Amino acid sequence: MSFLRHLRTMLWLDLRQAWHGRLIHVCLGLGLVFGLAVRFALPAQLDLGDPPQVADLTEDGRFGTYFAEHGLAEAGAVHDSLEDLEAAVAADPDAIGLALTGTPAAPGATMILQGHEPESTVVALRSGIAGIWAENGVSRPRAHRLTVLRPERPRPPFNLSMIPMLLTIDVLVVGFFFGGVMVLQDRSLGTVGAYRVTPGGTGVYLASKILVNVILALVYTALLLVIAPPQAVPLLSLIAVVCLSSALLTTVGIGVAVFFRTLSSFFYPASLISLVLSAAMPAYFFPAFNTPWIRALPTYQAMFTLRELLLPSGRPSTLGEFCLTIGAGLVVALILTTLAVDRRLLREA
Amino acid sequence: MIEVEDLTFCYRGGAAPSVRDVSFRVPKGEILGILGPSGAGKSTLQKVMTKLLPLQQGSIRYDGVRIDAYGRDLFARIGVSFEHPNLFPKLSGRENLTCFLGLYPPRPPDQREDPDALMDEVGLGDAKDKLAGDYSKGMKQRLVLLRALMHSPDILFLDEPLSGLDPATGERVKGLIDARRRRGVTVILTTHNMTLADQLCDRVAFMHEGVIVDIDSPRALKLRAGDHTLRVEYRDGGSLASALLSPSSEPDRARLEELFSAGLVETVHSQEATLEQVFIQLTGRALR
Repeated sequence: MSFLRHLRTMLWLDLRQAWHGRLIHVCLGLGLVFGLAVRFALPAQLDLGDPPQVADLTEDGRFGTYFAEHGLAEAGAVHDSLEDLEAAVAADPDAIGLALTGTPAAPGATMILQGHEPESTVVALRSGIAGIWAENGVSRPRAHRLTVLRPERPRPPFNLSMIPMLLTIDVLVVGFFFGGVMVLQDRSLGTVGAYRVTPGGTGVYLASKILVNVILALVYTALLLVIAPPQAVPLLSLIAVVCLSSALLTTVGIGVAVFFRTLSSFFYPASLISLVLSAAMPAYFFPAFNTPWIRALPTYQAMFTLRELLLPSGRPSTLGEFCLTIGAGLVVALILTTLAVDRRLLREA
Repeated sequence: MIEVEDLTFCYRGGAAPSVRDVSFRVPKGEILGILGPSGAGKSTLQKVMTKLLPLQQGSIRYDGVRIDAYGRDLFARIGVSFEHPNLFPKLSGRENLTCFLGLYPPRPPDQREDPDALMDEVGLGDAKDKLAGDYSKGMKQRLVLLRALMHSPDILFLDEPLSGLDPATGERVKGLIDARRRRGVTVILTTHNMTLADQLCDRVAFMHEGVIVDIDSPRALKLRAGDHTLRVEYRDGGSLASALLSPSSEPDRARLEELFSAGLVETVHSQEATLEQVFIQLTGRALR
């Protein structure tokens, strides 16, 4: 009972401190800005670049209609001669050119590249050319077949697909950084010295800080999801993921911060750790970027578990596995951080 | 009753113990002043006594119970005031007093301190709702002292309680501490302030290089270790002259009798040593 009474006292005090230290403002601000960005600023469809410059130089001019149907003529990307095409590609350093030549019996194509394109682009372009010829009457199609695993689950709009990543960023910033900042604020004000000589112990001190950050993470999540609703909101699962992730990263943030005396000395190692934790983000856009150590990051696991919850693709749920892994990590982090806080913060050196 | 026996504490990597074989007893309701220069071991002693540093060697007992038998419940019995104000700057003065109260066991209403009354008592009545960050150094110092009193502790550890206070406010704070003593609160007071120690402390312990070199009432210390003299003012021709004469010196006694016999003596004042002088005599160095 006394633990709960102590926790209530410290929670109220830490919430006041978070308010006065503008941590709550930052949290609400991030939620608002990211929510509005998802809702109004980010496009639903991502256009990754200008269309290729093309020219139909076949003997029968069979691609005129095809280019028109794909909006290339409208975009001013269709040219009548190889010279015009080369001039257009030369004028834009990011452009690529494609001239289709020959007959259905002897199909040909000329690719015009800037020279800096990766090999993958050339391979994709070759396949594209084969595909275009195939769609236009060549008897021996060489295009790759496209298979969609879950055609009943359409690809989520680009703007909504950002939500899991923005939630993970918040858990990272609010949890890891704010946890550390709260401890170092206590240290710089000397108020941790005043706390040392009260009956409140290490457990209460730590639990209160973790709870404050979990509350902030939940408020941020609610704000973001109210402004930019995703495709699904399984409330209990979502709360579990946000609470566990936030608690783990707050604990780690506090555990690291107690080894430093000032915010400025904490800043550089904290930035380095944040950079490592952020290494999960590229994997969201480039699935190949998922080495075993990146997959082990709590941010990676949180991000993809959140994606499956909020934008369900029909894959088997990883929620149980996530809760077990992060829960185990949290227990270990709590033990180590409790020891560190007790030795380095709540006792004299 | 506080009992400290053979207490020795050495910091990790320290060449010599910061506190060595310290023993003393403080009965309930007494104010014990611990005096010494910086580095004498006063703060270390206080930190071990408040469990901020571990007990390495020796023993400390509060009412017969060893300090290591206490958990964090010890902090419900003791109140600690710091020399450097460690307040929440964005909370009001009153909130700073009450913010940690929920961490202490509830007290019956008649044993609870009233934050408003306490603030009035030390002249902070008009600043109760002002942010502590806007307080002057002296105001912060008083607030830190009041925070140590808020949970009605049995034992108070005060570190330089008059630091940064003007004389009038200092008198109020002394009154506040004295009132707690009359209620049976035991006070361990660490200070450089000789006047405070002289006026407020029942006993004074002089610390030097980690050792208590003497402990007694201020008066006894001054009488025992000080050089007692008489300041005599006498008529010398047409003017008034003065001389410091020691009653323990044969020539000085003869001179005094001569002045009295001649009817030349105008005033006689006894001149005691100060605590500072006693300390210098005991240790060969000044307190600061």
